[in-house]
Amino acid sequence: MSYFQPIPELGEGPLVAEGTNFKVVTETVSRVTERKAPRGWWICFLIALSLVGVFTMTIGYLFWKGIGIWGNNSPCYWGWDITNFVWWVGIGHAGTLISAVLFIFRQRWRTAINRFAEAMTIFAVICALIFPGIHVGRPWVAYYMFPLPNQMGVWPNFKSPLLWDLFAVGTYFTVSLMFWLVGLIPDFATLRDRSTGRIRQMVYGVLALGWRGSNRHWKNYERAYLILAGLSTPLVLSVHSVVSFDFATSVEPGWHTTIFPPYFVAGAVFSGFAMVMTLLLIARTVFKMNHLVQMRHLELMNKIMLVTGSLVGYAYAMEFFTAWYSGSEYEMYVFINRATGPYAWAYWTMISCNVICPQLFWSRKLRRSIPVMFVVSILINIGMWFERFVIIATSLHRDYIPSSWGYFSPTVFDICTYLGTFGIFFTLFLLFIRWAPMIAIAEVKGILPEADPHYDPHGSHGAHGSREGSHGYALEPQGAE
Amino acid sequence: MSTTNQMSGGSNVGRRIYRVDPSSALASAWKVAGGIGLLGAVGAAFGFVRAHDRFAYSYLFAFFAVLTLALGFLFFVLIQHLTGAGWSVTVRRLAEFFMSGLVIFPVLAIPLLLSTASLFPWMSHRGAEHGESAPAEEHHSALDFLVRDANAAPPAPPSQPAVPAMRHGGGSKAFAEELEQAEHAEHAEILHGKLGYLNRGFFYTRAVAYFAFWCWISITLFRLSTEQDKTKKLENTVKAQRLAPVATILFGLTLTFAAIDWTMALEPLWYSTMYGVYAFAAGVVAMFALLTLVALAFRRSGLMGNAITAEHFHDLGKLTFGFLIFWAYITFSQFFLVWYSNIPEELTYYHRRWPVHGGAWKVISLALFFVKFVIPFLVLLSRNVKRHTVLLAIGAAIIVVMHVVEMYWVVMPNYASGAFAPNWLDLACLLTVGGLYLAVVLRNMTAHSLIPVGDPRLERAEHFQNA
Amino acid sequence: MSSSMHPRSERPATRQPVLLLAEYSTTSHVVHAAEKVRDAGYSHWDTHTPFPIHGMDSAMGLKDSRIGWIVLVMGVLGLATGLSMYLYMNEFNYPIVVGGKPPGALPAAVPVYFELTVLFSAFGAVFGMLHLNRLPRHNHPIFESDRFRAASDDKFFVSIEACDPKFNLESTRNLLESTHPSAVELIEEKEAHSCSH
Repeated sequence: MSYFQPIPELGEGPLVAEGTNFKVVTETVSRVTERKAPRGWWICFLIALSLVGVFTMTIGYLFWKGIGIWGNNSPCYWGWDITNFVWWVGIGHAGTLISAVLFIFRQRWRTAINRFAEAMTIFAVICALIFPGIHVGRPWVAYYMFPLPNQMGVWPNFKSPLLWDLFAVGTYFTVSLMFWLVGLIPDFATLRDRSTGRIRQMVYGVLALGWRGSNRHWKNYERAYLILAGLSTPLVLSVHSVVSFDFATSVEPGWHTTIFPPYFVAGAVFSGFAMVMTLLLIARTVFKMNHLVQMRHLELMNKIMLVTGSLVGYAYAMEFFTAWYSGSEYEMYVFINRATGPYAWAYWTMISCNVICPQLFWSRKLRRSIPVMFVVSILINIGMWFERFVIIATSLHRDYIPSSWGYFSPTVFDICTYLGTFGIFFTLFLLFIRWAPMIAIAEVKGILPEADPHYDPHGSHGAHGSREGSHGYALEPQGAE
Repeated sequence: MSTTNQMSGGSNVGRRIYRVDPSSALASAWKVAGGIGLLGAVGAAFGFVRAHDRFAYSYLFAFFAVLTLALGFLFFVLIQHLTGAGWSVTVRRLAEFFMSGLVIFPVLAIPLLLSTASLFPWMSHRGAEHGESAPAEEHHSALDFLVRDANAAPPAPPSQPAVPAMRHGGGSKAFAEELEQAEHAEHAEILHGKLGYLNRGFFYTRAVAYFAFWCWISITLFRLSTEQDKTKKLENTVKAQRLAPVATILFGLTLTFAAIDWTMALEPLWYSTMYGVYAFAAGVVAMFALLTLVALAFRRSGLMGNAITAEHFHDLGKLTFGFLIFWAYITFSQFFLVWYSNIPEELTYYHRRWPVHGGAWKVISLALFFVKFVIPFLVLLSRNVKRHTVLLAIGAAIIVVMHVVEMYWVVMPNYASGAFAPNWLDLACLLTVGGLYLAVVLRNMTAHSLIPVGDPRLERAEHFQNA
Repeated sequence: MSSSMHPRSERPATRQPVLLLAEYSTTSHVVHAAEKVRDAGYSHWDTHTPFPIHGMDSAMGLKDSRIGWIVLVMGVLGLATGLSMYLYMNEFNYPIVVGGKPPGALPAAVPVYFELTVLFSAFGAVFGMLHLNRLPRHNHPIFESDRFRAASDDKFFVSIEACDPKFNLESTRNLLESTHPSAVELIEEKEAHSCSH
């Protein structure tokens, strides 16, 4: 079908490399879980696991002593805890964006990276959920957050942004997990059918739920997947918006600003894409998946980072402009203080990493350079962490009453907790790439040229001449009744 | 709805001429639109002379309602080039027609730019124009609208009943007056700080820059696309795609600041960082709804042949639905943060549109939620509706009408006392702006093919199916 | 899993036929085969593919999925749950005035209504899909075929169940043979199989 042929002049290209067929896809993805883990995997796994150990000890000490061991003080009642929470939740957003939003917009190149990104979402949200759990100081009464009847007859306060957080992040985690598992069903079936050992057969068999590729099932499955994608799109908007409400519903200058919800969402997508990029580049190299995760995909991701980075830059600019335009001296002071006060170093780190650095991607050459994109993706992650830190620390440390101005510096326990969450994240992630198909097998097969029932292997590739002859039969618009 | 088999459609496409029949009613529709526009203009001109203040607001409302729509179409075309979208090629030309109407806006803006003194009281402040700080008395007198607003009845147009000021209740009259004086002095000081941005010279410079950019980009994109009809050259698509990224950034900035200049600055003390995004969301959702309606109309007329299928309506329906949610999200977030934080100087915006003035604005505020959002949301929720034209058309029509109502709701509460008082000038101005804009759009429709027959991805777009 | 390497059809006749399985190696073949089976009027049959094939639903003559309705009902239920929870807890049972807002101020808990709507809808989509597909089901007779393992790899199958009123070992096999399959296989079991839907 010549009109399905990509037009190279418009930057279009095949979705997978030449010569990739169904068998190759199955083989490439499945063998990662079937062969012995490479030595690199073990090294990474042990490092990650030891960080989990660090995390466990820090948290143990935290529960014993209380949150006084952190750098939080008056007036900086929030410090790294919330910074890390917002950062991790943000990381997760790219997964949902890639799975859901790109799915709805039929960006079919997403199949190369969606499974990966979804897994990242779930693990990042797990890391994020730890912080609200521990930052209240009395984790054993964490159930107070839930609307459960208790002996005092009091209910949670539904007007509290922190309660909204519970609902938003809880829902987000549950829906993301279901979305991911539903996507995995057909691929678990592939692993089941390839299994030779009894245990593998049993485990993957159970996980595959008896999937037999039935088209009567695919029909419901695809619709359910589409609906989940449709639900996840407003959900992902809402989650970081609710997180932004934690700040924006207050009357704190620098926090209370109406652009916060979309600005947080753009920032979340931005940082999430950067994280996907970092991890993907490593996995792609280690497991040799260049023909499935192509340069084209990486370039598109870089373009999205450029777009979201510019949106974040737009929000910074609007905040600054409006702070001046508002005529409110508190608003103005907060922003001048951000750029020139004690946290100016953090502010300028944020600006250089988030706004300036992605501008490199205007150049096609840099956009397609693996070392450049790797470094930029890490810088963006750093910049986005600083964005949250800047928002939290600069607004709190100098608010309305100069007599109570202060400064926040982290303690070793802040640092260890943060590092520890990396341990949790990477431990889970490494287990995932070892035991689950890290690329959506069924979806990648669906975008191969021969997946199209009108595909004609002997037909005219790229030739614009024989448009009519290659029709096997008529194309009917589906479900048009 | 039954769609005819596409087997032979593929080969037809390249040869078929998608033109408006010169003898058909559509071919002369632009004259009708222009006539209506001119008729409206006569009424508006009468208003311009006899009730200038009222005219200024009515005209701003009409101008902004239509402009946001036209800019929405510009955004649609830009985003198609930015993403290299193939599915939308068949409907892109329709959007391009509506985008091409942007060229008339510099002309339509003339009455508006002549009326700025009635709209923006800070305009009359001359000190800041020359970069000097004004003597205190002068700027106090320049800011007398603040006093006017609260103390005296506005210089009401003939049809406008004077509404007593009711912002401050209770307390002795003398005390209330003293309080107001103090408040006004403070407001004047705040406003004085803003005059570096809000001044006549800079305002006009910006306006010229916005129009220059919009006209340039819409003319360029329209030319690239229509030229391709004849030449069938791929490089036109390539050029448009190259232009798109920078143009999108400029689009975002111009739209944001135009919205701030022309509507947010009506209440110069109020501010919201989200305002540009809000104007964008409102324009884009209305654009998608209108595009759906137009595509439906053309399909019914048979002019588009098989080029627009149920799949395209499904997609347009989805996009309308998606951006409706986006609009609701942005609108609600802005309201919610202001409402929740309860800071007096921010609340004024919603205060004007809710409890004061006998509740008429409150009804409209509620209607924006229930009629603009809830009803179309429920209508467009179903997959089948998006593929069935009648309900889709109803949902889209509601959104378009409510867009106009919303822009009325944005502009009018700033007029005089802010009471809800519709005037025949509102309609006259809407007919002027809408009629003349449509005349340009319809004129272009008769002059060019209704489908970009030269686009290399046309055939793919015709065969595309929703997953 | 099958314990024997012999084709099932050569087994002694004490076993009952359960289904006929035809294997294809390209998507275009399996779609054409599906059209033929559809036109022959079978009702208890299916196609098995490693990924969803575009156009297969109409080739099989399937009706639109009903899952949207389940999701809709669940969404409304979620919205109602969120609203009633807030109103009961903060307005009636234990009114709390926070931030100068009346106890039951509706905008104050919009995030909660929204999240619960989405959560319930998502449950509806996932569990509705599993229910409509009658999954999990690990014991389907089709798994008796070794060849069928490729259904999740690179092969495409059409299966016609013996409980179909039109099923006839001879004619059904002929029908399948006429669709250019790369193999046709009969699956038998000890007891007769009852149709699932």
